[in-house]
Amino acid sequence: MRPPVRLALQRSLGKPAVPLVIAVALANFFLRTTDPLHELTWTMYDYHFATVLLGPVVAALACWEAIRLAPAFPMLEVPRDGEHRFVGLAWASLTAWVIAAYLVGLVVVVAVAKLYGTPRWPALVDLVAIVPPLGMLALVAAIGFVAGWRRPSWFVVPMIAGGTFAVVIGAYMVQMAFVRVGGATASLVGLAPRPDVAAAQAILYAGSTYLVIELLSRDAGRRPASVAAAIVVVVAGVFLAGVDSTLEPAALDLVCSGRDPEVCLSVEYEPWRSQFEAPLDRFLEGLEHVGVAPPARLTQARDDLGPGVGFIPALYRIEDDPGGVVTGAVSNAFVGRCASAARTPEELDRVFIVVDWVETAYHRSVNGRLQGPPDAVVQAIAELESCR
Amino acid sequence: MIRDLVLLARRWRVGRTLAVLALAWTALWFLEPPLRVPGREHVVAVVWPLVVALPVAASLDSASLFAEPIEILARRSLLLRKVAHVLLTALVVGLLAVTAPGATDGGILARNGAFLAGLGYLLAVVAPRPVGAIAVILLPAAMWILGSRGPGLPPAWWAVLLQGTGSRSASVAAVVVAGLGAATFVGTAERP
Amino acid sequence: MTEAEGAERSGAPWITVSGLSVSYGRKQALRSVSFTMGPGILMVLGANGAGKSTLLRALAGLAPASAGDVRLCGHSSVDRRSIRSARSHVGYLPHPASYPGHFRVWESIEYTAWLADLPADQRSVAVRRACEAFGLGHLVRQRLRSLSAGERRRVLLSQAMVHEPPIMLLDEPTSSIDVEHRGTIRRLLRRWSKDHVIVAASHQLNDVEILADRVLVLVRGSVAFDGAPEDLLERGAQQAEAGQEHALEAALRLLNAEWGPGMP
Repeated sequence: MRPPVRLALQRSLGKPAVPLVIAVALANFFLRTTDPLHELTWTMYDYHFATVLLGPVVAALACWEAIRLAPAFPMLEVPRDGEHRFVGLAWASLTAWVIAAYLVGLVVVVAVAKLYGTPRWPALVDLVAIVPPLGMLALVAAIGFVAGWRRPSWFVVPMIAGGTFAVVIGAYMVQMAFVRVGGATASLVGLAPRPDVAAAQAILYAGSTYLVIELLSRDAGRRPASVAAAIVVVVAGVFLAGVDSTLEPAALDLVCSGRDPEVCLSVEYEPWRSQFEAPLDRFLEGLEHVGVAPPARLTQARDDLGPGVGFIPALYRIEDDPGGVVTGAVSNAFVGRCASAARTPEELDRVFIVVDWVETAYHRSVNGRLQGPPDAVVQAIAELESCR
Repeated sequence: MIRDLVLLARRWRVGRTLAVLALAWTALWFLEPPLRVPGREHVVAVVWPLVVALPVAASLDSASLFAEPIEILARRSLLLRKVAHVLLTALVVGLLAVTAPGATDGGILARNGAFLAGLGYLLAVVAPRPVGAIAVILLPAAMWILGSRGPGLPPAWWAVLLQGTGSRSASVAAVVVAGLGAATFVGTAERP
Repeated sequence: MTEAEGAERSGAPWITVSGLSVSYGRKQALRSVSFTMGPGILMVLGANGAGKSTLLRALAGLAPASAGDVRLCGHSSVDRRSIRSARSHVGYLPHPASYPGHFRVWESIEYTAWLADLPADQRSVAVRRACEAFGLGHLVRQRLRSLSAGERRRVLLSQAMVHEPPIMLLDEPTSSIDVEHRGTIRRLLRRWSKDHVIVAASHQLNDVEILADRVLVLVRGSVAFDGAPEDLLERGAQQAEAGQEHALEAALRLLNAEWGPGMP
C-alpha cells in the first residue's frame, strides 16, 4: 500500500469508529426483529435497512472528520488542485473503514443465521445486493465531508445528521426506489433482489458521490467528468423512478411431499413442515367432511401459482399464528392469483368473501361446529375463475 | 445591560437557536401525526415528540464553550452563566411545548425536551464537543426506528421518547436525566 | 490598592510554584516543579511534549495538579476554595486556540472584557486600547473566521490582555505572526513586564534572547535549567563554537541529553 494511503487510513476517524458502526448495524438488525434469521436472503436484505440509521451516523462522522482536518489543510501548503486529492483521500479512508465495519456486521449476521440453522449460503444476487447500501453510505459520507469542509463549524455535525435522517426517512415514506436498498417486514421466500435495480442504484450513488466531491471545485460544472457523472445520475434516476419493486420472483430450492395437497416448502422451511402440516391436515379433513375438496398444491414458490395452487404466506409465523398461516395458504388456493392481482372492486369483494369464510371455517373446525360453505362463497370462488 | 445580553446572545448563538426553533415549530404544523415508521408495515407511530431534538441540539452546541479557558478564567461567575444557559435551553423547550399546534401534546414535547437536554448537558461535560449534540439527534432517530413495535403494541420499554402521555417511567426517566445532566454541567463550574 | 500591587509592595512573589506535579493518566507531564516569580518575563523552553503547555495550564488552574501547590498573588489555583480568585488574576493565551468564527474582532475582545467584569464605561476604552496595541484597528468589524492565522493570534493576545491582568500566561505568543507585528508584540511585552508577570512558552529562540529576564527549561516534565538567559547561553556557547549551531540550541540539546531518558 502506498504510504499516503496507509497514513490516511491510519489517522482516519473511521478507524476508531469501526466498533460504533458495527454496533449500530447489529443493533438495527437484532433490536427490530430476529424473524428473518432462518431465511438467508431475508436476513441479508433486512440487514441493509441499517443504512437508515447508519446514514446519519456516517454523515456526522464524515462531517466531524472534515472539521478536524480543515484547519490543518492550509498548513500543508499543497497546490490548489491538491485540495481535491486531500479531500478525496480523507473521504475514501473514512468510507473504507465504514464499509469494512458494515461488512463485518453482515458477516456476523450471516454467521448467526447459519447457527440458527439456515441451510443456504449467500447466492450471487445476495452479494450483488450488498453494493447499493455501500454506495449509499459512501454518498452520505461525501455529503457530510463536503458540508464540514465547506463550513467547519461543530454545529453542522448534528444538523447534517438530522438532515440525512430526515431525507432518508422522507424518501422511504414516499417509496422512492433509490433509497430502498434493504429492509423487509415479511418473508422474502421465493423473492430475490433485482440485479438491474441494484446496478442502477449503485450507478446513481457512485455518480452522485463523485458530483458531491466535485462541489469543492469552483469550476465543477464545466469539467467533462462532472458532466458525464451528472448524465449518469439523471439516467439512473429516471430508471429508478419507474421501479415499483426492488424484488422479483426467483426460483426456489423446493422440497415437495404429500398429495391433495402436495406441500412444497423451501429447504429453509423444511424443518417446520410438521408444524405446518398438523393444523393444515386437521382443517382439510374438516373441510372434506362438509364437501369442500382440498387444494391440489400449497407452495412457497411465487412463480408456480395457478388454479388449485395456494401460496403459503408467512410460514415463519406458524408457531405464533398457525391459524393465520393455514387459512392464508388455503384461501390463496381458492382465490388463486386474485389475492394479489384483483383489479376491480367486485373482484376484491369476492376475495374477501372467500377469505372471511375460510378464516371462520378454521375457527369452527377447531370447535367441531364446521358447516359447508354458503352459496355466496361457492359462487364467489366460481366467479374468481377469471383471475385464477 | 442590553449590550451585555447582546454579547451573551451572540456568544451562545441564540439567534441561530431561535431559527432552528422556528424550523421545528413549522415542522410540527406540517408533520401531522400519526406518521408511518419505515420498515414496519401497518405500524403507525408518532414523530412529533422527537422534533424537539432540533432546537435542543442547537442550544446545546454552545454548552461546550464553557470548557474553553477564556470562560473558565473569567472573573464573572461561570456557575451563573452555566445556570443561565440551562435556563435558556429550558425556555426554548418550553416555548416549543407551549406554542405547539393543538394536535401535539405539549407535555410529551416538554418531557422529551428535558430528557434530551439533560443527556446533552451530561455529554457536554464528559465527551468531546460534537458528541452531545449528535446524540441528541441520533437517539430519537434510533428510538423511533428500533423502539416501535407491531400494530397496536406499545413501544419498547427503553424507547423513552416514544412513550405516551401517561407513562410514569418515561416522566421519571426524563426528570432524572435532566436533573443529572444539569447538575453535572453546572456543578463542574469551579473544578480545577 | 490591588492585590497585585499589594504583593509587589510587600516584596512577595506573584507566582509561587512548589513541588507541582501533573499527570495525564499514567503519563507524568510535570514532575515536582518549583519556582517563584515577580514582575518580569519568564520564558519556558523545552522540546515538544516537555510539559511547557501543561505548566501554563496548571498555573492557570486549568490542569489539575496531582501534587504540589501554585499560588497566584497569594491565592492557590490548586485549592477548590480559592481557585476562582487565583484564576481572576490571569490572562491566558492557549495554543492551539479555538475561536468563535462568527464573532467580529471588536465583540470578541469586548466579550472578554465583559467576562473580566470591566465596568461598562471602561470597556470600550479598554477594547480600543487593546485593538490599537496589537494593530487591529482596521480589522475591528471583520469576523474572526475571515482573518489570517496571524491576525487571529493577535486578537487572542488582545483578549488575554484587555483587562490587564497582573499575570499573563502566553503559550507561543509570537507563533504565526509576521515580522512587523512580532516586533510590536515584543516591545509591548517588554513594557508590560515592568509591572506584570509574563510567563511565555516559546520555540522562538529570538524571543528568548530579546525578551527573557529568566529562562526555565523543561525536559520530560522536570526543570532542567532555571536561571538567567545569559547563563543558558554560556552553557551552549562552547559547544556551539565547535559546530555551526546557535548557542541556545546547543544548550537545549545538552540539557535534553543530560535530562533525557533514564534521568529523574
